[in-house]
Amino acid sequence: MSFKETISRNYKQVIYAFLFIVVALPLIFPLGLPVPIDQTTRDVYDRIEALESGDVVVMGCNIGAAIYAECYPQFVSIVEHLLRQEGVKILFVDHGTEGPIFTQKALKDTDAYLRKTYGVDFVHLGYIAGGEAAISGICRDIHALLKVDYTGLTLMDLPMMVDIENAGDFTLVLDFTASADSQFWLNQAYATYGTEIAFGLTAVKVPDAYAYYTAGQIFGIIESLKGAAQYEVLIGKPGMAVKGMDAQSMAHLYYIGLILLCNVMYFTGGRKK
Amino acid sequence: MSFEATLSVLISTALILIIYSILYRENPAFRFGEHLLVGATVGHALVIGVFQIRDLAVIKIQSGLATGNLSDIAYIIPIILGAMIYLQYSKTYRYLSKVAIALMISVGIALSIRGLLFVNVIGQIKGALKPLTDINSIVYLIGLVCVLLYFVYEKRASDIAGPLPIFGRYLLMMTMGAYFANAIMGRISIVIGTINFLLVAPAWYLIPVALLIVAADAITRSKKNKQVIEAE
Repeated sequence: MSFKETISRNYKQVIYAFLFIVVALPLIFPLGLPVPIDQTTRDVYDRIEALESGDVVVMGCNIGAAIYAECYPQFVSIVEHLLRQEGVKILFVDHGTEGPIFTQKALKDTDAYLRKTYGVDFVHLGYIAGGEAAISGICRDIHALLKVDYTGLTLMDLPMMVDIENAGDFTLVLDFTASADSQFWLNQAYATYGTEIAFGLTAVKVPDAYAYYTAGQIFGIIESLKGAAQYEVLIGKPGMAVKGMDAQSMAHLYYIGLILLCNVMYFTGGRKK
Repeated sequence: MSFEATLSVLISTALILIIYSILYRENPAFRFGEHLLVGATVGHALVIGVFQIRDLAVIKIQSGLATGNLSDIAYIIPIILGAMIYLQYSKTYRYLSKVAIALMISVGIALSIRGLLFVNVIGQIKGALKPLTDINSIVYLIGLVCVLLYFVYEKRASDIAGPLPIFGRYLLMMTMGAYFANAIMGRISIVIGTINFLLVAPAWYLIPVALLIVAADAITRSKKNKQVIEAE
């Protein structure tokens, strides 16, 4: 079997092998391509910068292993930014079963337990089953829905939770997800209490969210790894996402190259009538 | 890095490489990894679910029984309804599971309908009727009208609209292109995240091992194929 024949028979493996190389090389030798900031990301940054002492931010988390690469860098950057805001209270709510793992990881990665006081500056409620019904419960009366936090501490014993009852007490809700559950916050918190909402989404979900952004129903969107990289630049802490943007650009160029190559091959030789 | 952390990274890396082995070809290691993933996810969800019943209901019932608070004791009702769903497996009492499912669906609809109307209908109409003060708003409105015209199937209206519905169709195609491009970007982001993890020591030590296994398999298969061809 000739080399050409081997390649044409195993073209999928060849495409994947080259994709691995194209993605791995910029990760090993970063190109330092500029990361332009989108308005959707800047809106989130500006809103968090404008928070005042005593404001309450809800961090909805439905991050799982499948969307870790896209949403976790967004989540951890926002946590870092929120921890820098003096007097801002953060309430972590997970509405995906794997959410607590990644919320705890983000708290560990940002040294939240060393920088702030648990129960005073932030509280992790853990996973709450029930989808929209659970979010509705949080928005209506947290204490009626839950008696304990993620670690089993009684909510009423946590100083921060004494004054937080319903979505009327939330200043912002930032939700990180890949599914339709971001809509739940709009239905329950924005529609009923007028709470300001922003999303951190996977790329697939972004076009859906633009309808809400252009209509002024959400104030910002962190778009996939790209948005995470932009946020890392904005907070001055380049990390995993910024590193990944060179690889992202190279992979896109590789795909464009493949599309062009396939079309050239189609029109020059392989076209069947 | 501690021994436990190293072991954890190596196990994660091995599992990632096992899952990615499907890109080479279907193999038993991939099937093992696939089943392990499904099992681990379901197992984790099951444990979390049990804790949820404890946190959201059992604790409240216990507190209700201690204080005599009826609203807390009433949490026994959702537990019974939840248990009733499993009557799906009984031929005799299957109809009872439908009561629980019907209640669950109706509560879900009742909770979401108000917000859905406000956000997806009223909010979107309000958003579309913004003052035409900038180019974005103008493009948005033109796009909206053209796409809506594309979905008007009445002939006289289509005749009056002229080429606008066709323009709407192209806009729809562009939107789908944006969706697809975003989907690709998302998949690439996942690959980047995974490779980023694989390229850090000690994870990358397993990459040459995986490549050697793949190469050995490819050579063995090639030899076998040759033997088959020669035998024929």
